[in-house]
Amino acid sequence: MAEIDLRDIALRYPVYGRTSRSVLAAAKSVGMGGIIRRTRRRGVEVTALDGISLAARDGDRIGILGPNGAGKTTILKVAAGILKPCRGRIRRVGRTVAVINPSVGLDPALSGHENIEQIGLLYGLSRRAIVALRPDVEAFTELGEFLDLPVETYSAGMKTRLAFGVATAFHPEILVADENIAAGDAGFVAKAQTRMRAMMDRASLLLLATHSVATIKTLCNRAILMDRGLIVADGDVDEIVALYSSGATANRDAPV
Amino acid sequence: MTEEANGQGRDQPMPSSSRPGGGASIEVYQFDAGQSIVARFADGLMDLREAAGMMPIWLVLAWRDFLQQTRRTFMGPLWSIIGTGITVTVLGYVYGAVLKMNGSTVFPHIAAGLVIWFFISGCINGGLSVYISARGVLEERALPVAFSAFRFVFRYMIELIVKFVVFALAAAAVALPMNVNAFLALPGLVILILNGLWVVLVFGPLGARYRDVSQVVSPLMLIAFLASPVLWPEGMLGGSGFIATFNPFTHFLAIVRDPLLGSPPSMLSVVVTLAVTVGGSVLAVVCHCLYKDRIVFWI
Repeated sequence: MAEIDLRDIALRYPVYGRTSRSVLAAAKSVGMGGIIRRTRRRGVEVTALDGISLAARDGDRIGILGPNGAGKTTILKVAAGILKPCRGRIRRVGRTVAVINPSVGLDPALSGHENIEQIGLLYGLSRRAIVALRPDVEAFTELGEFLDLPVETYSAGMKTRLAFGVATAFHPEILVADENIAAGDAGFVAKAQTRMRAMMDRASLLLLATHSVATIKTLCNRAILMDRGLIVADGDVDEIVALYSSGATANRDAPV
Repeated sequence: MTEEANGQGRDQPMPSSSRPGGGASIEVYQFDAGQSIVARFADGLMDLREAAGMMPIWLVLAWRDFLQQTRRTFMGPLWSIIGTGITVTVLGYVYGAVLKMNGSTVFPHIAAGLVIWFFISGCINGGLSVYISARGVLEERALPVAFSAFRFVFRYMIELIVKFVVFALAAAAVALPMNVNAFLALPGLVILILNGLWVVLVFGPLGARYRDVSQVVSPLMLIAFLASPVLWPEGMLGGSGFIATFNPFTHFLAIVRDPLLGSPPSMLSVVVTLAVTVGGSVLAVVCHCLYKDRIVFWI
């Protein structure tokens, strides 16, 4: 029943307090990331998405590849409803959970258990439902006693375990996840993949941005290649991975 | 782009139900960057409505935020009473002496004044950074934007209510003769909190977009504190009474404090505060509708 429909999405990040011409000149020559523009009316802006259309249905497990600054995280945030684009239309059906940046989404002063509860409350779950989720999250994250300690005592990988474990415990129909599975150790990556596959068995939709070709190959059945805020290619995983690995997107002079 | 009613005519049929939240219901999210100004206001009002609907959640989180400030302290939330109590005691003695005020009224007067002022200045100063501090929610979860504003105001409301213990203690200590008028403080409190809401909804985007504002406002709030009848009674201005009359803070202090001290608030105070509530709320709705989607880009 899940679907995502993005039509002609454009998004520009405003940049404040960095308006010197030298910064602009330097940034233009790098040939990476979004396109930096300066307009009189709106000041300096980075164009992160420049007209993207993407339609995904139930059962689509889409891996998003692309160099740094291609717009992968931005498209995830748009699909999740966190960022509103300046152009285009979005339609999304299905209960959605996003894991973008575990260190932002978790409250460092609260313990693991308290974070689980807080995130559960934010997603509109009852306390009883949250308590029912605890064994699942405990088993998946393997954080044990650490769940009673404040999250600020966690390593980056442990935060990833927690954020990802909580997000997937809610049984979303649509999971939007950024990079972060790769931040875990090998054991966790394997577990995360199993968990996502189990989730996908219940007919859902996955949108995953990552640099890990291996992750995409095991988890996804469709891949898109992004560069400079555009979708350069969309299709079969092996095909897109080959294109990505061949460096088709590296240092192109102008976006397609 | 001019696609007002274009949402319907696309290749996918529109689902008939779009109940938000909860269990097995279908959750539909739609956004059109080319929406008309009317649709934008409808969207903004919907955001406020959805945020209001999450009241059980932000009440819990507001209570936790309140406890969080004194986490790992021995006294816990009692500190917010103790701290205010010390301030009231010291300032009560000093200002009682300086202003030659009667000891039996000075302590309750200052206690109520300070507690109300903490709420007012908390909403104004804290409101400017409300969305900046709520980054974790705004950048990671697609919740109604106003959710963070409501959560913030109610944290200060909890603090306001807890700190009123200090007033009660001061009133008991001097055996303040309270009367039935004291109940009029409740509607006053409601007006005060409604104003906290609009202040945060207006100052939130403003402070996120223009970081200089909070640098300007903090010193101004100190001036406002000293120039408003928080510590000194309005009557002591004598011939310069207009200073207090033209100061809106005077009236917000009056609608809650006057009833507690035994007299109903003046009609002027009621009219001024109600007018500010209405005007401010309209401003808040406009601000929220126009800027709520931009806030996440500003923090």
